[in-house]
Amino acid sequence: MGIRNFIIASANLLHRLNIAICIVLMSVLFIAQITIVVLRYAFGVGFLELQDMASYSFAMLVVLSIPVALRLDRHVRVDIFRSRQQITTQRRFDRFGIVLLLFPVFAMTLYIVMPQVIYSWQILEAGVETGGLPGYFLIKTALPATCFLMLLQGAALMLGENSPSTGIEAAGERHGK
Amino acid sequence: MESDVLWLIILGLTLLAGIMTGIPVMLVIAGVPLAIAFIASIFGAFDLSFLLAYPNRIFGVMNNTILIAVPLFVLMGVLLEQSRVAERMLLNMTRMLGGSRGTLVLSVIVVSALIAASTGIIGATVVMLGMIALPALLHAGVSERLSSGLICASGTLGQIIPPSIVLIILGDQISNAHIEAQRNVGNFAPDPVTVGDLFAGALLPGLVLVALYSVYALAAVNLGAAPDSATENVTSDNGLNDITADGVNASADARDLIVTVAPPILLIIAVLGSILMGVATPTEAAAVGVLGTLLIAAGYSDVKFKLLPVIMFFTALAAFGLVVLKASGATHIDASGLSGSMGIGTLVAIFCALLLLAGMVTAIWCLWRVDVLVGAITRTIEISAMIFGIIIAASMLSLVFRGFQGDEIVNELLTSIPGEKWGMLIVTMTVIFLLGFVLEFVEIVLIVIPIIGPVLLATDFDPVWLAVLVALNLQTSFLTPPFGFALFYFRSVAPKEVSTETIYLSIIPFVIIQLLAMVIVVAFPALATWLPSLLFG
Repeated sequence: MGIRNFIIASANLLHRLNIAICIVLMSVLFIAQITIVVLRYAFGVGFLELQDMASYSFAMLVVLSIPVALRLDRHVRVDIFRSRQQITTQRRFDRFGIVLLLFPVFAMTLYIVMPQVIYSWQILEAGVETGGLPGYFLIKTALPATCFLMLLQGAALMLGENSPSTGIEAAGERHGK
Repeated sequence: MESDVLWLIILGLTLLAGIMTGIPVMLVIAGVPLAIAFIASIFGAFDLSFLLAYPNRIFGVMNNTILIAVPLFVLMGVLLEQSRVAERMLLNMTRMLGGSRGTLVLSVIVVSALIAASTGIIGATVVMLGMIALPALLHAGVSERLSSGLICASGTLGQIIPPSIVLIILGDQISNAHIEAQRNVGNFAPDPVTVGDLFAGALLPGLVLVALYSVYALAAVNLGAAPDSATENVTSDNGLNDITADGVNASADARDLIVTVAPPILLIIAVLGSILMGVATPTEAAAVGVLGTLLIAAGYSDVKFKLLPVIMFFTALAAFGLVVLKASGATHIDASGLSGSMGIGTLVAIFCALLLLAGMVTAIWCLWRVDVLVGAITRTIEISAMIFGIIIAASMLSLVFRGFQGDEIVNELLTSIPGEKWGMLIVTMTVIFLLGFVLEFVEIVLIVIPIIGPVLLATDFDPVWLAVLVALNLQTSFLTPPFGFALFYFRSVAPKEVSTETIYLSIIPFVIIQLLAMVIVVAFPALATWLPSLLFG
């Protein structure tokens, strides 16, 4: 029981943290991009750092947003049959999907990407553009982080389904609209 | 080779079965190919080292600067939706133009086209039309069937009328396929296909579609609705929604109309125009679109502050002033001599930019105060995540597909079809149309275009023309049951009296119109290719 609660609690915590990070990334993306436009079109000046800030925010948003949507059940489903299934059947299929599809994909990606990311940290990899922002290794780290979050949220969804008190469904409702 | 074909058939069938279970599509199109690849590798039919490239594919998506426009356009649409700007636009237009059945039907189509262009979010548009326009249409005596079909079909216009999110994704894929096709025939420096090309190419076909919808709807109203004229008189008397524009309110309505409709329309023209004129990239235009939407949304927000619309107006004016100053060439800062002279133009420009900043900060603060901002950003993240999830999953599918030499098999298959390139085209379009019954635009584009694009574009088909055809075809995917987003959303807001059968039947003429539009674009390719070549050479 201890481990189960620990997984669910940390999944809840990291989900909230991740939403906050994504909101910040989205805001930074917009602000950087609009600043680039105004500076470039009105004054004819440009900064590679700003360009990098926009593309870095976007790069992290691409992957980090995916576990958010998983948790909130926002990924597209084809529910021709699903809408007629009982809730227990739906959950059975969902577990099936988590164990047979989600776990292998993200575990394998994590396994393949880890050495690359560790190497990136060792050389403190910078962006492709010279004169841009440093810290591309941090951006790369978003991918293994996403894999980890997907595995964790998947595990929490598996464990949480039996007891509604975990707040997983409730969290989905709250952010629903 | 033979065993590869077998494995590919297994892959296809398992994918279909997996998608039907209702498990998120993203997990299915990433997980199923992986599982099949593992099983095949046990039989020595798949080389697992293919999978080592997967993280690099994901990094490729993360570093794809074309896609940056996607979350920005989503944010623009969500802000317009959640600040109820689009709703007000629709309400005022229907009230203003809803005098007779004919004009009401036309106004619904025109407003949908406008809202579609600005938000591009099917669900939002269909729900809004269903809640506001459906009662108005039914009141005026338009049949349930025509109203339902009209709303569902008009709601999907956002996919073809630029700026559209799916056109950005399609443009990215078509451009890759085009480069690959040209490289295969030995052309290492092909003319790139840009998202701007696609926006320009889709504009006229989109308008043709609007015209076709209008002609059909007007004909249907005038031919088929004669017995309804009695109900029209009755309902307009006890009018729950005061649709008929009576003379007393006409002038006030006209002012309302201009105040609510003009700013969004100007914004759309600015965003689309700057892309089409080649002034801004789609990403830059999208950022400007978000800024404009912030100002509009704050101007209409419920914050109790009378000066707010005025401030927003002057902020927009400052932005416009910057454009004028830029055009007159008075603003350039000479980077080589920062210590040197700054002309009066530059000072005015700096003042305008500061005003813009202040206005933007005010707008953001207001929208935060009325609880629109964080909700809109969160919703944007969710919608973007759906799209990114599919993109990343689809790269697993295409990796495994290539591991089974699926690209060569499809190439052989397509080139063996009788009728040369036209045979290929017809088969491809049929496959896409059929896939549309179960999948949606983004999924189909990401699955089909990387596979068939390089083969089809190795012929002398124009890439922009092909993309427009695919886009027109895929618009039906939102309309075809059992899984059509537009139908789902419409069902969720339509009253119970409108049966699901009616809804399904109602979209048949519009799917036929869609196919007709494709035939027109095939017959007159210039519809898709003339504008891009005019604008971008």
